[in-house]
Amino acid sequence: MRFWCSNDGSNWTWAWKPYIGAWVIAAVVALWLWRAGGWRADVPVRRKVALAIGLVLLLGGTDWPLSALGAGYLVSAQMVRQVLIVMIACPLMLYGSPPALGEWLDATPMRRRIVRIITTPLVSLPIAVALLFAVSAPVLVDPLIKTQLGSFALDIAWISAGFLIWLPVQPPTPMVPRLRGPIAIIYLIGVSVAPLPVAFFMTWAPTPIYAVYELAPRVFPTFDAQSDQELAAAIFQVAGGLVIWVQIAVRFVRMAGGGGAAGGPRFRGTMVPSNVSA
Amino acid sequence: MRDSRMGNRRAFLRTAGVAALGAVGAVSLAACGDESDSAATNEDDNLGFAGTVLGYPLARPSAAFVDTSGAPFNVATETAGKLTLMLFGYTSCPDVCPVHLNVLAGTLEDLHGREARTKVIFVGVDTKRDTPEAMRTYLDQRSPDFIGLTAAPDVIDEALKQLMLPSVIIGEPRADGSYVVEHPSQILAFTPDDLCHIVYPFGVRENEWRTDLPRLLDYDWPDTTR
Repeated sequence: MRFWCSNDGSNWTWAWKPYIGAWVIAAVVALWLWRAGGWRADVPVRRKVALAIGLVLLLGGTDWPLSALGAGYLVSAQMVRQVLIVMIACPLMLYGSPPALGEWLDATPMRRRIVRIITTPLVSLPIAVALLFAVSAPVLVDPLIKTQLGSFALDIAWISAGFLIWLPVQPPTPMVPRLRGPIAIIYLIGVSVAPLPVAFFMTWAPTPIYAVYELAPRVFPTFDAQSDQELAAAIFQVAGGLVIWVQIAVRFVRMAGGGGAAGGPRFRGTMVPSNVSA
Repeated sequence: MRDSRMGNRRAFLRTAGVAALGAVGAVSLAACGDESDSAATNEDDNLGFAGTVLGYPLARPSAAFVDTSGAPFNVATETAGKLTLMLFGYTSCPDVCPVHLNVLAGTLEDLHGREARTKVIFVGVDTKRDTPEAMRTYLDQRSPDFIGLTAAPDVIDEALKQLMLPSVIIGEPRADGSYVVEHPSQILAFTPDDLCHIVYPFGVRENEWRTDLPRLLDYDWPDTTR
């Protein structure tokens, strides 16, 4: 049994191989969320469900088979993991996180200052995109993914990028988003566009860009590395884009119905506890 | 358990490859008696190629192979003067062979000019399972232009011996009827002068092949045939 998924060069097998690290992290986070009141009776059901789904997706993205396929065999599986973790699990967990987290973040001037800085769009988006670019660069991916620690570092970078991307528009309760209404929509459009160079490069590169996937034992004999890379780019653009554009559409509909910026607390440009404007 | 076996097998293939190159080097040393003419196995001596340049080139094999239509195929005469990449493997191979073939298929797919006419020969060494029909189906999944050859085990071993490569080892059948096949994993590149000056180990990528193939066609190899 191994701590984390990595490219160990072995042939693919459908025999179940759980990764201890993924289960330990999921268990610790679940325990902390439970103790922090994430599943208390007064927490709305939709938040509890979001939190549970977010946790399950985080575990699904970091445990066998998806993580093993992604780390060692198919870049398309790796891209599914990225979309699951960055685009779905992170915002769901932020949405469902217990009030204790938001209260903790808001408890001291230092924490408030840090939150204010990292939720500034011109800070959060470039850092998140830079992280995603870095963990997509062959020069980093090829050596890192061969070790459990390196692969773990790549996954942590994804999770960090996911939280950075979503914090400005989906902070933990009781905090209100720094960006709301049309500004949040513009920000999300930026999120959908900014990482596209990676997908563009994967789509149009004449040869496979990652050595680990090009030379990995085949999971499906005739599914070659180039096709795998093109599928990965499609997943990144279509699935990742779909998640963001659904968010944009929902926000637009709410805003059009008066439930956006006008319906909630007044936009202040910084995060404030929701009870300030309640 | 299976992974361990596969890992061991790959390790064997790598070791066998290195041993073969070592053997070529030893022959070269013995034949020439001059250290400067020894098999070039370090990176500086590989002339910028992604493969390993041999100090002593090898001739195209003349063994009596059979192609996937069942017709006799003499590599030496049928591919004379053409850039030819030759590898030994088997259609049930789970790792090295499909990766090699996929990389070569991907490389040749988008090439134009003379290098696009590179011949790829896959010799099926698992004579029980690598029937001409099975070989054709297997190769067509990558490229219909790939040439599939097979022969009786002693003929294959003779060809391997001529190419200074280790013999094929067929493992004992397991309970489920499967068995391990150990075979050389290098790709031998025969250039238009009908000699193999360079072998490519497992791990060479498409972009490296794209760089090397045009060079292999035109490279002016020093005359080391003595």
